[in-house]
Amino acid sequence: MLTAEARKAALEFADGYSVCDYCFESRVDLVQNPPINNLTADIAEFLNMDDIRFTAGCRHAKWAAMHMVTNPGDTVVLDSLAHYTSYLAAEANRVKVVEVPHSGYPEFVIDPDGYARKFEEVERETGSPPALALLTHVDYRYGNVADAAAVGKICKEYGVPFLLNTAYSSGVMPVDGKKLGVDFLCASGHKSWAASAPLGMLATTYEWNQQVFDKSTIRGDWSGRGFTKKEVALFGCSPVFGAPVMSLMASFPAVVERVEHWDEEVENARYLAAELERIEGFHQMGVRPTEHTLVAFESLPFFEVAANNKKKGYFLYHELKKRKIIGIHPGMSKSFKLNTFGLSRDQVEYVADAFIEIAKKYDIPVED
Amino acid sequence: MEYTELTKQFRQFFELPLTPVAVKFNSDREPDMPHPMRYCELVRKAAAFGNSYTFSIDDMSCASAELALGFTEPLYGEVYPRVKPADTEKITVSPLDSSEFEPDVVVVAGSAGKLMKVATTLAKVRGDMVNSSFKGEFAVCGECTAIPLMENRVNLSLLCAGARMFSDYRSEEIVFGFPMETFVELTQSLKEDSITNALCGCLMDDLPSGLVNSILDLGFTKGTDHFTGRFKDEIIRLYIPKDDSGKSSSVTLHVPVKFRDAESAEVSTEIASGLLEHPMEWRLRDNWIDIVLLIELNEPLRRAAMKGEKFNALVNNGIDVLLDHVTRFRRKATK
Repeated sequence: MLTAEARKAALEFADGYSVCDYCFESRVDLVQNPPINNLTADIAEFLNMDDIRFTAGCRHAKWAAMHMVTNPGDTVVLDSLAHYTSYLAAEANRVKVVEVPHSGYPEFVIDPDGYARKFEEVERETGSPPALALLTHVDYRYGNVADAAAVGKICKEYGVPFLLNTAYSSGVMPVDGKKLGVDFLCASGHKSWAASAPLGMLATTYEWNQQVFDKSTIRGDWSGRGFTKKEVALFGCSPVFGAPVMSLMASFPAVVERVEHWDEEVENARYLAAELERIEGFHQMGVRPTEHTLVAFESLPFFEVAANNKKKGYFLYHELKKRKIIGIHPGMSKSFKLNTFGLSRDQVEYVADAFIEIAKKYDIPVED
Repeated sequence: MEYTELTKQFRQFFELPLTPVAVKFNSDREPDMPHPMRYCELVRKAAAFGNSYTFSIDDMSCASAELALGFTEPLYGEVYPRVKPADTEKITVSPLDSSEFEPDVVVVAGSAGKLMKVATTLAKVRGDMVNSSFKGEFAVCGECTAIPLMENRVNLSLLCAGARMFSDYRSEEIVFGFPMETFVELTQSLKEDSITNALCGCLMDDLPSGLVNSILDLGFTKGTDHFTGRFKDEIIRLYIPKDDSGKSSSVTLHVPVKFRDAESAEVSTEIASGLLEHPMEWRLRDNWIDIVLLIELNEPLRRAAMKGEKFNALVNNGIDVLLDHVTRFRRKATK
């Protein structure tokens, strides 16, 4: 969700090249007016990383880091709850993936030691350690917060570069890259930083920044043209000029402020989980109590209602819409995810009451 | 379905660069050949360039095709495959999408990879193997035109030396010949095979479909990572664990039991320890205690899935055992 300031900025800077009038350094991250170069430095400091670049989405950041660090045929170790774009980034870079298993139903936890086991397995089978380890800090399916610091420590021990996907963490909860032992950190501007799409970020350390943000060396064989300030993995200058980067800038103060209230946000999610679990058959999956605002529920009784309802699985969507609650995917009733981030306690209570009201309407038992 | 639509659907589904070619025996058109050519050459030109031709025996430059297409009877012995009796006077070939007549045969040329998909789909539609007869001679004319016409069956050909040498067929190309009816049946049954129904468009597991169907038949419904179902007023979750190498040889059944708060659940762990012995397990999770039954299949999941009745009996028995333990646990915990 955009902040009010970001909404204004998005409108004002909707034109594609609206931040480029005073671009004298040939890259969007270096523009001084508006002060994007300051924003770049501020975000690096906020994440406790040394250097960052904007990217065309978190997926681009993952691809870029992989592209600059691995070679075709290498192996990347990643968690088995990773977003599909992590797999596709590997595929596009022609590297193999080896998954760290999760613990299965109902918690689906990634054990950090699984990384050590897989590193050894890869070394045994290929003769060299993996080229990169990727961990999804908060997975999109169960909202589990992985132990990134433990994985970071293991990566250091084995000498494997560590890429942390913070699409669901940085921007909403405190993330300290150095503390977590991260070499590369990718983030989603439009998912968790209240910016408009498409916008991602790739942060790194001074150990890696020259390699990851390597400058172009190509020359036109006939014209002699060269592009020496352009960074290869970012397509020269990331295509985020205009609304994406300016809405990020407008939201940034609010983002810095809101991560301070993460504990309250998690409390709201726990409250919702507890209230919804009063409904028969409602059961929160993932780690309990939840450590994130993204919560996954199974809800077989709603699915049973759907079987006999003329709207089928869409009944839940319509019941919620009637109560001015939107966001749940139309057709979903067997299981679904809710994210309470940014809602006040009153709003969370309203959502909980709505679910309970719907359950009672369809004769699903609800605990007092 | 119009031929244009039929062609479009077929080509799009199988991503074929060449157009299927319609072949009509003894059409009412007059021969219009600029000079004599091979039949297989005409077919490829029709497929690649959209040309139409009507020809008689006088327009042919391949004696084998004359025989195979029924323009002449063999002088000595029998020839197979061929159109018989040899009463062919003329033949029209044209791209199927611009065909102005109802074809007898449709000839499809393409790479082995693309025609493999045609074979796979055809086998699914007809529920049988694709049986083919070929010997690398009389290929487009005999194997892919005469056989579909005379035997009313689809036939695959690896082409012949003449076709590859003189008629511009690429080294990776092979050819299918269809009776028109079969071609229509196949094309009308085409729909994009979705490998997943998941909203995200991702395939979330590699469970054999036979196993999934067995579990659904037991009364479960499938979620992203597990199955759920209601049995005697209790909601049971079925999960298929994998070991570190990704192999499965067991099934777990779960019933999470809810307590008023985390402290109450903690107190009840003592009951769980006393009551639940292997293969029963339990796990404290906040204000819930998950009661789990581990069902060892003692063989890889894929093999177990093939023994439907045995698998069903194991799970059904497991459900009874789990429900019994849950009832006893609830009773004791409530006390």
